[in-house]
Amino acid sequence: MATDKVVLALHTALQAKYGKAGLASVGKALRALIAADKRRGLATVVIHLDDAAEMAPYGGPVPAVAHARAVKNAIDRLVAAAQPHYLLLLGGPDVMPMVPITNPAYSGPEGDSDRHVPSDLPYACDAPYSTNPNRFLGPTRVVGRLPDLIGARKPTLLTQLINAAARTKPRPRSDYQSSFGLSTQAWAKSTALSLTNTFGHAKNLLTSPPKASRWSASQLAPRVHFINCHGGDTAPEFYGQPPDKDEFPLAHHAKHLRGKVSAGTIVAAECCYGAQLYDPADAAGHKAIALAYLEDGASGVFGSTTIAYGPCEGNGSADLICQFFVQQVLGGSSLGRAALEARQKFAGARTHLDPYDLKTMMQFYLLGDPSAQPVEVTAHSLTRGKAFRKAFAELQDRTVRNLRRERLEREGKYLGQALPSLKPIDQGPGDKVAAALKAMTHESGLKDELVHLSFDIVPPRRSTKQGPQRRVHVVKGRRPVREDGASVVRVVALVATEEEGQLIHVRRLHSR
Amino acid sequence: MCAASTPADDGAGSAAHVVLEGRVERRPLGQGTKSAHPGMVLVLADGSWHVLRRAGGHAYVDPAFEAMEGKRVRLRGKLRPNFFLVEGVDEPND
Repeated sequence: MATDKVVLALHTALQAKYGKAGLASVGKALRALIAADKRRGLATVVIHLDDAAEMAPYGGPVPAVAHARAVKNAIDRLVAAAQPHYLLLLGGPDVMPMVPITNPAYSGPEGDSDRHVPSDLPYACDAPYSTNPNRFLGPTRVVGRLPDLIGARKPTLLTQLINAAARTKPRPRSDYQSSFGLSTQAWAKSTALSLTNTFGHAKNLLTSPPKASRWSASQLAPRVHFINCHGGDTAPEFYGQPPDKDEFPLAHHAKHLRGKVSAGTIVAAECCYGAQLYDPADAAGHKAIALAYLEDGASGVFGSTTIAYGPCEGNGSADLICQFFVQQVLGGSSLGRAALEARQKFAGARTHLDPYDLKTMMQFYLLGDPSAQPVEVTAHSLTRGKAFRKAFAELQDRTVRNLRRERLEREGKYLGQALPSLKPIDQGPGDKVAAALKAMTHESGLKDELVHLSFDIVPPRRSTKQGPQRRVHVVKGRRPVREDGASVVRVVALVATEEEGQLIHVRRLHSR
Repeated sequence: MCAASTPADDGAGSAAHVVLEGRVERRPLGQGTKSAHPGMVLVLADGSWHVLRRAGGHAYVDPAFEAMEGKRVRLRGKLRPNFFLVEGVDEPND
């Protein structure tokens, strides 16, 4: 019998963390999930990647202490052999490692200080293990992660989330009609655009300031939460900001979610570290806000592991990948398929990914059961007829899903083959482009300590077409301004694309 | 963030407690990202520095560290990949 969904676990890591009794309760919850999936028409198996017997058909187990490379290689072998439609990674990064991708946007301790981006994207790609982000531009697999609590000794939260995944069921589209939209006041226009693109309006948008962080149950009741606030490393909270002021009032806190999240809620958090998992001991006992959402009934959280990006005006980077995810969920995709479709749509919308878009691709991931389908699809009236039902009585869901997976695999493979990669170079822009950038730098009010980054846009290896030589140049600098009598420093990044010595595209990102 | 610090492969930080001495300064952090903000850092004698955080404290603006601005201090805590998690002040030196 074909396998639809594989739950991927590491036995040794789970047992070391929770002991035999804890492992037994996780096993019991997983058996309930398998039974629930069976009732939903899904054939689910649990495979411990470090179990010799279970991995015998897939090239053998990973070592007892498994690092990301071994896990990635094992998953690749398993997918090639079993071709499951869903991959569910079990546990947080301490029991199921993420891949430490090199951050293409790293700019030092005062800028983007993430040297690496912990990522699940490589597990969604056919490309072999690497820490080079350019290798993972063509995701093809439906992947999600059901996290547990880092540092925990009892698997209470993990079993709770597995049991919740077993209970989840699609709801009518009308249940997802309204949203809890939360933004810093400074980014209200950008967030309003994201909400309008997704819901057709932004009339429910809340901003911080002036709104406070202790949201009521009725404010949090909508089943789509779209959040565009500041986030911090190892912080259980998000922050607001008034326009052009360095004030960061509390906008949202994990501790205020208890008992207020509607079952089946989906969350898209654009914030820096919006879906980071950390040890609560480092945050005065508070869980990550993404975990608090799942604990209180959310089905899935789509967010970032690290520092994220967005333009000052309009939409870009984090705005786009988050709204694509929500739009796909609202269209009836499973959470995992929505994450895959969002990644593909984001990557496919560009001729090449600049360092900030590349990081966006790597850092956003799904916390939740990838096979969960929050929004039910309204069947066409044709499907309610006797003739239709008779004609398709023998057809299994897997067969129909196969068609979708074929399309997604084709799309992902195409992106992986067609998108150029970025290669850091020491050479700066040509004279003409340098002069134009210098003028824009001046116009933008950039002052001292400019940071320059340059990249060759390298055509894919299989490309037969000899295209023009293109490069991406980044200039980052500070713009001191006086606001309300105070001296404030704003940072501007100019991202320019050069083709054969000509400037063909520029975008400007502001610090917010 | 210490200029010389390197994150562990899995993003986990060292659990070892350390004592660091230096001067508390305000620096622009996260420049050019969604979360650019001024933050308080501890600058060590060799010029390297660490972003200061307190468990349960505001990730950007913590009054406890703002009150130390310009002072030399000895801080106890744990080094994390992107910040120094301060657990106590051993002795203010000035």
